[in-house]
Amino acid sequence: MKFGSFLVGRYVHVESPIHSLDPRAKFLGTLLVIISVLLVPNLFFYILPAILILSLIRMSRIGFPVYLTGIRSFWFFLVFAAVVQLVSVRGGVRIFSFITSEGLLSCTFVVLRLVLIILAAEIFSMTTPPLLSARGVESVLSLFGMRKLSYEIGMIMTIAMRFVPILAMEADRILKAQIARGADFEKGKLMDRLKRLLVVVIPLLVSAMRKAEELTVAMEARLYTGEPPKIRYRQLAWSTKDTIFLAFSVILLCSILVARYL
Amino acid sequence: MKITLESVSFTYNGRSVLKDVNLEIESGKVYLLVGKNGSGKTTLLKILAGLLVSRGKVCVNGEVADPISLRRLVGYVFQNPASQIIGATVEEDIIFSLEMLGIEREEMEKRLKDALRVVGLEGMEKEDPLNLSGGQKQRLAIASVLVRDPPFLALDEPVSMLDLPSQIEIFKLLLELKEKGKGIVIATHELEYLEGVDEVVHLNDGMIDFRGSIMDFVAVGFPDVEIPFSWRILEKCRTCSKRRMEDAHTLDKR
Ligand SMILES: Nc1ncnc2c1ncn2[C@@H]1O[C@H](COP(=O)(O)OP(=O)(O)OP(=O)(O)O)[C@@H](O)[C@H]1O
Ligand SMILES: [Mg+2]
Repeated sequence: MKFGSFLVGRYVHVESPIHSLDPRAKFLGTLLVIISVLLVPNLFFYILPAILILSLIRMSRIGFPVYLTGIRSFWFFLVFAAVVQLVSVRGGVRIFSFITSEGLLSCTFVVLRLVLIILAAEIFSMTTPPLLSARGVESVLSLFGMRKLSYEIGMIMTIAMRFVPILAMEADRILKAQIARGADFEKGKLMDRLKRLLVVVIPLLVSAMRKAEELTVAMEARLYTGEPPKIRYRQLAWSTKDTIFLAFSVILLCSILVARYL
Repeated sequence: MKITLESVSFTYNGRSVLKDVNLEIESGKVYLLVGKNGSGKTTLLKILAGLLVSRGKVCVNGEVADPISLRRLVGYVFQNPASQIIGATVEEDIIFSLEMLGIEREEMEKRLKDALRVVGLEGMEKEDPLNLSGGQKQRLAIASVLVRDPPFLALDEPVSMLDLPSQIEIFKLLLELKEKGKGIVIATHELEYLEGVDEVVHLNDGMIDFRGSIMDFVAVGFPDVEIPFSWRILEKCRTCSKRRMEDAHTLDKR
């Protein structure tokens, strides 16, 4: 059992035109694409965001199977949404027991929507180093004022991303320690196994709290006060390809809006 | 510049850890803080660096200082270097406090380079600090504090994970910083390299029961602090020669 494998959408380090986009452009573009997907009026018009998303995936030089792991980890969610649609939407021709053509249509509609949103989010998270994605989010949010709040949100993102691998390692360590003491997580009834898992979860919580406390002190020691710094070491540079990328997302949104309201 | 602790006491959940501690730390001097595990070294350094608030007063040049200004004045290196990592890359981690200080970018870049060179982490700028070895983490911790160039340094067992040559390297570096006028307090169990230390402070169960020169410290001898052989010999020679001088003196008189 490895806790690290729960992590999805982690940054994949390769060189690609998508990787080198400005994180602000990428974040804003991703938002626009997701909004477009949400506004798509009917099954047919999914073709537009799908084309854009698939070409971005292609350009990102990360294999499609890697993106699929993201979708796979949301399988429960997807199946749940699908079943809800099948059960709640009835109409048209009856195909098989409670399944109707209308239900099937709306089920496809919803599942496609979710899949496209997951893919869009994955493009952002897998091609942007954690640090830059926090910076991108921060910069975009600060466009709407509230510099301090945006900075804090960026900081929270950075720390959260910092924390995930630390906790994964910690979980691994505790698990191994318990196994070394003779705990067996593989055998026994489900209930027993769950109970035994508690001996991992509780130390993990304690350790997470201690780590959070440590990090606070570490940040204070480095003069963190919550005020956004006036000068940043890493400067973000906007280039033509960022404008082009953003233009594509805007065009997508506009065409979806036209399709929806005209 | 001078930082003074005046009757500083500290309790963790009702347990008294520091009891009425008085201490002066001056610029241009190196202080060694020794004492057995749990004697309160870390607690004392954290109070000095404005990271814990104690009963009693912490003054800078005679005036009571608040924790925030102490943090700016004293650079603190954590005992466990892993717990001080903030950045996602070595570079980011070192730069963090410079951004907080609002330093110009060119200056940041220059200081970053210097700090990396001084601790021997050149070329590792983009590494994830979590993937560094213990010793490398310790170097990073030192670099992240040196880069700020604070007038005082509080180092909590800064070389505990370093190999011998690296330990010597870091101690040399600290002595250079002393010559540049920094006040340095080092909590350590490592007493091999004592040259240049101006004062040894011994903590016993939260109380300072010795302050003085190394020679005096060696002469008194504390069971909980292992004194390296070389220093014991040096001390013996000194007391021997002193006795011989005294003998010669009395002979003269006769
Ligand atoms: N966060 C804490 N909560 C409660 N008690 C603590 C905490 N940190 C330290 N203590 C207690 O305070 C006392 C002094 O601890 P401190 O860390 O200052 O010792 P130390 O001299 O640095 O020891 P070491 O040589 O092991 O680093 C110890 O008895 C310890 O149990
Ligand atoms: Mg300690």
